[in-house]
Amino acid sequence: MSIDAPILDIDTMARLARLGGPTFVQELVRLFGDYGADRVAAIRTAAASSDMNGVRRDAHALVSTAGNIGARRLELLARELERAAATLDAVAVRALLPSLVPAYDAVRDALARHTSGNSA
Amino acid sequence: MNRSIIAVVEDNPDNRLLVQALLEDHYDLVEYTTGIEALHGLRAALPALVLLDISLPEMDGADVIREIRRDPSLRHLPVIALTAHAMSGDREKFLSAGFDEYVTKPIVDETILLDAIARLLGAPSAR
Repeated sequence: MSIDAPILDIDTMARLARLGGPTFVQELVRLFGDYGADRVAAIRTAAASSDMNGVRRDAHALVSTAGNIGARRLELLARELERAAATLDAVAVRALLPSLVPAYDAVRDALARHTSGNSA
Repeated sequence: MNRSIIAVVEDNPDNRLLVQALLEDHYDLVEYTTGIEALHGLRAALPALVLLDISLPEMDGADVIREIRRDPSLRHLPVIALTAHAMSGDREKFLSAGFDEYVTKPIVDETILLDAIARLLGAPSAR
């Protein structure tokens, strides 16, 4: 279950910092804030109009956007949404959808804490 | 020393940024955000290798690889599928579609990508 996965994998954040330095990490976090939020909104809009192809496409994009920064729980939730939409399982999509915004917000808050902790 | 040019076809900006961070110390990168733009660009200037996302808007990666393998000027290009599809059997599916390699996103172990590129370019791994 996605609930068992970490909201933010600190090892991934450390790896990214080693790979590209603090400016690179800040840019990835900024892109998560912009692009990730757009994907979450697009998934909700598509689900509201029963557009399963739209849910599948935007959930698929969210998988790597979340995974890139180590947002494992959100990544797994996006994978579950993508799978449900790909099999046209609207009941499963509706069941997963209420977790999406809280999962996204939890990552955003964890990133804010992580960033302020590192700049302190 | 001349560095190999790698074309990155990816619509997701954070994936492009991550690939840049992984590769820019070793290769020159050319970026495309759509399949159509990539085909135009590849025909105009042939890179050494292509990293091709599967889920692209309008013309997806499966369509792009089909065009690449059909075009005599492009058909020998090494192409790596870069995709968040990670289901059992996907690797075989992508290889039979004409890709030379398959790397899953998110890229949690960059050595897999660096080794795949080196293998296809016939060079030592950049890691």
